[in-house]
Amino acid sequence: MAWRTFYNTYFDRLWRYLLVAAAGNEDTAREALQGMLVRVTRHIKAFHDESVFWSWLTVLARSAFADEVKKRRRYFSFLDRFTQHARVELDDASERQTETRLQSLLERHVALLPQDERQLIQQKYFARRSVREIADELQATEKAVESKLSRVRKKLKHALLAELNDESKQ
Amino acid sequence: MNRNNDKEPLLTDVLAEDLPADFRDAMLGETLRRVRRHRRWRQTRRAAALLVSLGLCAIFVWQKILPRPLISLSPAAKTLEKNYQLVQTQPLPASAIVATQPLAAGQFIASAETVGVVQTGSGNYRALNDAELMALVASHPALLIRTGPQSEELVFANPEDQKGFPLN
Repeated sequence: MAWRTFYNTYFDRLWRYLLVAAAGNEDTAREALQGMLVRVTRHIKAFHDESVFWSWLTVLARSAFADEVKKRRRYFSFLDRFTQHARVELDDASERQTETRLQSLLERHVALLPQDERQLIQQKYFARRSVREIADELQATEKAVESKLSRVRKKLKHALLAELNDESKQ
Repeated sequence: MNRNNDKEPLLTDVLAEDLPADFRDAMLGETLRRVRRHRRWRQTRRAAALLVSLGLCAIFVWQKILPRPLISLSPAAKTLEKNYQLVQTQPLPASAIVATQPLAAGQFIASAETVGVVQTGSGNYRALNDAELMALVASHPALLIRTGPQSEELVFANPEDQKGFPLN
């Protein structure tokens, strides 16, 4: 039960943290998260402060990510040499700024969306309107609205991950 | 749009896009599977270590504490303790044996020393001339007859003297 609570509370946060650490590489982030969760089960202990607990989690996440990068480097070193795959070295400042960074990237890419797509996002996520209400307003079906929302989210995700990847190469 | 809390659901949905629907559950299941496998491996390792320790203790007790028998009747133990090479022999067949017997008395041939050995030495004699020879046998009448340019014959008048006589 405690594990389930922990999992539901921290999964998304850790996933984002590692996604930024892995420069938008979902495979690396997924493996690192898996390794990190296993480490949590092995070394879990009591914490009295949430921020200290989060710091401890980020240490485990960084360690798991470093191991994953080493593993991939070992197996695909020749690929790395030719494709210049990015490796992100995290420092304390970037740890603290992970969420902020993602939020600002998202904000920027939402602003770059075409008018209709930006409005759709604003209606759904910032005005907190239901898909049905949006569909009624646009005189479209709920399915069509859901489909369009999905396309816009994919576009945002690809733009976000691509930018993370570009930043890590610089 | 300025508050982070407003962007939180959007960010969550955007990052979850393209991921499998059961991404979280699959990750949780895989985590639990790895944890259980690790726990089983750890238990197996502990059990193996315990067994090895017990085995080592048993060997130690067997070698150090229990008295070892001085003479082992076990053939296996004998084999372990011997420091020589065992050679097995067999009796020869009768046809391969050569035996000797003492000879009968009539079969002996013995040789005895019956001939005197006269040894001569060099430089211990002197050749006599005719006069000295006649003087040597002066007490026995004799004739010196020349039979050739390099040969002479001494003939005693008394036939008894032909058989020899002691010289003075």
